[in-house]
Amino acid sequence: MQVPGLRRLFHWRHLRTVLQIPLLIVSVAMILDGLLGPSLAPKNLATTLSWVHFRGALVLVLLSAGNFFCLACPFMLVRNVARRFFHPRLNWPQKLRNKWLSVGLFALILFCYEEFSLWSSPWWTAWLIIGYFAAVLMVDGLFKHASFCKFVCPIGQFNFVASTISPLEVKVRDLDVCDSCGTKDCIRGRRAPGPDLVVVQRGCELALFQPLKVGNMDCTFCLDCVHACPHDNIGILSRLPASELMVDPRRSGIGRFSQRKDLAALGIVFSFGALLNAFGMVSPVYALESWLAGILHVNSKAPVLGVLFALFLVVEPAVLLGLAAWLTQIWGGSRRALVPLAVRYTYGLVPLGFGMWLAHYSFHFLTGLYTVVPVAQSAAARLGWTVFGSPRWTWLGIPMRFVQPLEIGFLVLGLAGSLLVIHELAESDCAERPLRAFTPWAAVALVLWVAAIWMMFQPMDMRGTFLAG
Amino acid sequence: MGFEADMSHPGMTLVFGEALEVAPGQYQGSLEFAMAGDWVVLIHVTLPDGRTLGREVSVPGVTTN
Repeated sequence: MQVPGLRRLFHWRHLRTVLQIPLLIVSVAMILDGLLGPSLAPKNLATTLSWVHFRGALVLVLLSAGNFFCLACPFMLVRNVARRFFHPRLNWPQKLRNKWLSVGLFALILFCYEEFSLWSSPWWTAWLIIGYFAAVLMVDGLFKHASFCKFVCPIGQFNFVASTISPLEVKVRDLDVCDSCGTKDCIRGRRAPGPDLVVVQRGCELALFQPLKVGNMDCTFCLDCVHACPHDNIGILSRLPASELMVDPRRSGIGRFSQRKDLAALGIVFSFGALLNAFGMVSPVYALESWLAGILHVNSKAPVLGVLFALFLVVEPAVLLGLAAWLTQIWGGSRRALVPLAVRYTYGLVPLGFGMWLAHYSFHFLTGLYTVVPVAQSAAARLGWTVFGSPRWTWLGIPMRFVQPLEIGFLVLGLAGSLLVIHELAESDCAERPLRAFTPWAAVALVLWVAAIWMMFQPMDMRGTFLAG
Repeated sequence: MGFEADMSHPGMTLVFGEALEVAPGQYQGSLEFAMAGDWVVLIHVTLPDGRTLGREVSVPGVTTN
């Protein structure tokens, strides 16, 4: 696919900065309004933009294009400015060169979202953004390359997994050109001529060597490789969404998906966490939480949430994936051991998980689409800027009757994607009896899909006080 | 005197209502919460001299019938 003008735009050296500056300004406005503005979440920029608009726009851009939010990440702008003054000297520890830390942080953010009812607290939301800036500066101030993006950032991990479904990918146009390339600037960076070999354009900070890169995993769309390539041989190109989940080659900077238990764990938190996060906003969760609190004889939320998270993110995946792997072994005749089988097919659930995130976040985004207008008007009025008029609080968004079919469509799309990926994996695993390898995993996907559809039709209930209510 | 009810989650539905004076200094109005959850009722009052004042009342744990 070639879109006139886009190639030039993506080659423009300042594109990233130009996209980052507005987001940095918005982030600062969110922090200030979160700390100093109204304490009521629907009236505050921090909560409205974070939990309604940012999340919704993020998943829709990932679905329709690619990981452009990492490209425009304001945290990296601050980090790049800081690195003009502080040069990190350490390498990220060898033992942490995996996704385990970020999987834990991803689950922790989901936990904190429920525990502290982050959606209802501008103050906590502002501190979450401040904490993010501080963490970026600390990690990338100490450690070289893009350590924060690759090994720490929970939002980045979400984007990496979701972007496996995206239709666009940063990749090589012609591999023959790479074969004849003698400098490998895409990974090493372009250096100025002379004895000092000063890097004038850095290469990939996430250790993705373009000729061997497959898919979007770990790619922040930062375009460093595009700018570094002396042959103009790297671009943002179209591809079949989720196709990278159907194959298992050795990937640059990653290795084989089937040998990465940490990546599979990330896929589990992504897919099962999507259901858990949505379950937190429907009525039955409060009945379950009250029942659990009674059994545990506790009056606080944390232990109940701890049990729920353990059930949804550990026990349920272990039972479902373990059972499916066992059936694939005995019925499908696969020679792989149970854990490698579960690791391999876990990626098949990613499209369904993404469908659930899409359904959930696009619901808030679309039904609350216009709420940013009165909230921004109100914030401007507090600063004495009356040019935007008085806040139009009646502006909400698209009616639920139009949004709900779209949600169901996303879930259907997610299920179809999962079944397709699982089928491709089963075909390459058991060429003679693919249906026998396919069926157990398709059944898991179907169970999760039915659960997701059931959730969509439950009455919504946004509470932070289940024990009192 | 007017009412406004917001959910604790941003971007959700808002409900508006008016209060009428039923006795000197006593106002009455009704609001219908559109869904279950934690609500906050904002009371907007305009005084005879034009000054305005507001009050917030939390209504947590609203459930459906």
